[in-house]
Amino acid sequence: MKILVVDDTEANRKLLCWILEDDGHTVVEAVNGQEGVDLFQSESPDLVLMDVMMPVMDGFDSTKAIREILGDTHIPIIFLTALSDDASLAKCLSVGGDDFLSKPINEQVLQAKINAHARIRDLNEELNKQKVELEALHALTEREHEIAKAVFENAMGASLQDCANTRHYISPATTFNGDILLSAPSPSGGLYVILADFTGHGLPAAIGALPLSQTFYNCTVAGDSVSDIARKLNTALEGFLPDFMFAAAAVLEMNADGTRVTFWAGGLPDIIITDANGSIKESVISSHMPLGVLDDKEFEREVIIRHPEPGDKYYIYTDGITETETPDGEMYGDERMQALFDGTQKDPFTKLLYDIKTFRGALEQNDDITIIELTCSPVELETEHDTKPLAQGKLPWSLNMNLDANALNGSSPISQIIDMIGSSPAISEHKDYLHTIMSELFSNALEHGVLELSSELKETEDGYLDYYQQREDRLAALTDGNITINVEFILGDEYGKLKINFNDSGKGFDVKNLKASDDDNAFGRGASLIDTLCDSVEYNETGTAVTAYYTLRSTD
Amino acid sequence: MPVESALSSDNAELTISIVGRFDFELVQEFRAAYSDQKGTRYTIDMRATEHMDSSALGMLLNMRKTLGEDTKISIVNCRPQIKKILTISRFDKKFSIE
Repeated sequence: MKILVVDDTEANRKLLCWILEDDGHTVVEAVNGQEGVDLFQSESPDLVLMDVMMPVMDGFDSTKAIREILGDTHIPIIFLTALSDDASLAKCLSVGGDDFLSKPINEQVLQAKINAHARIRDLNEELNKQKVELEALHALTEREHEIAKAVFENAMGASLQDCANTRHYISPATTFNGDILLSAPSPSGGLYVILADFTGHGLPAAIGALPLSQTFYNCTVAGDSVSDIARKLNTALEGFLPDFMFAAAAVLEMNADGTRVTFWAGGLPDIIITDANGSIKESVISSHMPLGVLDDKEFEREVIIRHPEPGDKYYIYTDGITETETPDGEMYGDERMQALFDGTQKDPFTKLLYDIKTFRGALEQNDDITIIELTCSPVELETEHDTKPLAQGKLPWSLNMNLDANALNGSSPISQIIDMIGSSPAISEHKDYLHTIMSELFSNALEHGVLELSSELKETEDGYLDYYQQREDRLAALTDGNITINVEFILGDEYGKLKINFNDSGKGFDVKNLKASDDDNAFGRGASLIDTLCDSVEYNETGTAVTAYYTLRSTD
Repeated sequence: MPVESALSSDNAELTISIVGRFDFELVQEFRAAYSDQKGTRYTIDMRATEHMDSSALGMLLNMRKTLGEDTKISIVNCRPQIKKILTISRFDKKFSIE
């Protein structure tokens, strides 16, 4: 250790030097308090032995100055004093000394005190090091949380945007929400909603949100059914999360008319269904296990289906609501919550949120709270419409296809034709109707033309099956025959037009017969479908050729 | 499987889902879907049906005939183009189309 000895008496300094150097310490000598301060700064000793009475600056002032320089770092200062009155000894400590030793110096006591203070100093150094490390770690964690939060928010999309059918309230207990509430439109114009509550809260709980939201959005774009979504979410979470983590969840789909609600629920509090007046109709228990518990084989995918009246409301929420506690530890509970839905509240949703807050009082919220209210009515999404008119294309073109017996025996060429012409911007939004029209024209040409099948077969259900069996047999045995398809794009003033022509090698059929059918017949619907979807349809006299015109109007 | 059927948890409602193209190639499968399992209500889920043609219309009418006029059959989650085909064919008189 490097020890600074501050004493104006040379004999004292020499004695101390002799003792300390003998013990293996390095000694720096100062002859008064001022020199002590100066040497302290230049030599950075590990411990100071300080005399009290000195010229220029005494030991008290010197100690004060050194403590000032040191700030938070700890270097022991031990006073060596001939004074023995209580007041002086107390002053030694009050100005910043750590200990005192009476002169004349006892060598053993000096050594013992130096060792004791060295230990304290080491402990202090260790503490300081840990404090610095902790601060660095804390800063790092904060930064990581910031990054994680940004990723999290991006992954959640624009989170949940309420449409005319939903209202929601989300209040996380920490920066990260272990509750996830997402909604998405379905391809058929309906609405999907998912509410999930991961075990725990904070960052660990929120991590599960990533696989969950990605899977959910993939499913909703594909238009999956509720039971498929629940099952896929379960598989995703089961694979991603450690065993002790899972998510209580409800997945719900309302159809576009708001007349049908399908849902799967596992581990959440009861789902409350009310009529338009807010009076409770049913409270549905989440009968399944939470997501991420069972493996795929054991997963229960049964859903609940309800056919609500217009204005019925569904309330789905996490246990953060019912488990809200008063400062005395009393829980809000299901009964208080369900009592709100007795039909007397004008707006039970808002009342509930107000109640929860008042119930908790001054207490901090200790779990994530999420609730969504879904109103059963035709779904109104706030979507942005792209009103830019589609270019009709500037060049006319035509497509010819000649299919012989061999080609006809393969799969239907219609999908391929639609893929080819559908990439044109004017046509892409008509692909589905064109697919239907051309499929019908192709079926007619093949079945009634080339294969000479009669529609009359289809009059009974068994005949219906028979018809398609014969179709298969005759097609397999086909050696002669062909169908030519011609599609021509004609430029128009405002919209382009398609001329679609089918020609077959069959004997032809009675065109009038084709169109005659009533509502109950399981056949003869193709022709009227084509008629309605096209501008005009013309058959030649023998029924072996047909030409249809279709205008590519903007469908908005 | 392009045709899947599932009973609801109370065994009352049989939901038949059709994936991809609903056309004559599904004749057997579709018939089996409502003959093998019975419900008191039937729902055809068209969420994943991309196209349908007149043979599919025929199959639906056969289903109606087999189950009788009084059985509730709903056709749900139709994409717009499918809905138009059903409407053109006046299927809203025989089925409840949602």
